[in-house]
Amino acid sequence: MKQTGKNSSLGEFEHIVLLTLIRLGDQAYGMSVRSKINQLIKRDISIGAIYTTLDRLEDKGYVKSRLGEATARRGGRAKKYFSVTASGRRVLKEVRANLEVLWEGVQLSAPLAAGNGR
Amino acid sequence: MSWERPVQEAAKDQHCVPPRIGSLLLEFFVPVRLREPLLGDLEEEFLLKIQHDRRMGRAYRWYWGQVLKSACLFIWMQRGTAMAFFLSVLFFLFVLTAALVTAEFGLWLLSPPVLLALVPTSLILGIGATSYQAARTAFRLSFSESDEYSPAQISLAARFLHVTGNQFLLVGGVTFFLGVILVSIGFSQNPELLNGGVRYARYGMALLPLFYGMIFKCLFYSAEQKITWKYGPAAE
Repeated sequence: MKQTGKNSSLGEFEHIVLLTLIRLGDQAYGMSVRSKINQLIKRDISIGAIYTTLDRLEDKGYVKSRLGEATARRGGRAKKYFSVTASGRRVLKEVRANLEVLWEGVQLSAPLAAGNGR
Repeated sequence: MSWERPVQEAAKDQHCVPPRIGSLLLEFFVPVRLREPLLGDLEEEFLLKIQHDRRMGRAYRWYWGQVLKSACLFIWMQRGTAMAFFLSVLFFLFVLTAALVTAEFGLWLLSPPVLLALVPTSLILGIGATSYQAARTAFRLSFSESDEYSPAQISLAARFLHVTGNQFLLVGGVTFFLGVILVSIGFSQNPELLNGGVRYARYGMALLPLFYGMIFKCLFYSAEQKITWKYGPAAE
């Protein structure tokens, strides 16, 4: 079954989370994703925002999850590990290709040309 | 990296537990499917923060910050549900008030226009509990076939049918009880109506909303079964 067009879009934060999941591999769960994002791009995201995004990505079929071990240091609660699906990887490639096309030849530091690029 | 620190170090701090009220607050607002991993992650990071700088106050402040930010986020996400609930209750009360003001006590409530109270209220509650998109998917899949929906969308559509069917029963039940009360009040004000078969006829009519509710529940149950059987995991 394919996704509807409306659901195939990828927001900025969803993009960040998907890339972080790929970086973390099989150790990707809520807290590790939060810490990794904080470490890499210095954004202190709340754990709630991480889980709502992961939940949305799972709904879109870009991410799948599995329950992990429950430990005493987590109050006996199980971890939920996330990984990117083939569909998630495909949409990431598409977004990257689109962004590369859009960024080609763009120089933000250059002064605006007369006539604002007309 | 912080989350990779050995477990035995954290074990020293097992007596440190996050604020119970904060955890309860989150438990209330976070959807059930996310509750266990989210609270577990928070507790794990809370213990790690205590290990790192040994300052309980800072860890508690951090925990409360996470609780408040996350709770606000989940409340904001559920605003649609809250608004739908509010609107449906308002609509239901409006129809009841209109019935009391414009018609003989209770009688209006027992006639077919009671569907006006039953159908929109139940549908809005069902949409509020799921989503408008789920309702559209449910109606589309109930009357035609389509393979363009993901398993998650189909599951949500089936959930919409399940929840809305139950709402029909509940609203029908509540209206039935209100009808009985109103008819009784009507009889107490007009004792002459108690003669003959009028009493039984009116109490019998009070069952109508419940009857309508059961019919809708059957229809929605059939649609739910159709979607689950045709598009659910077992069908793939």
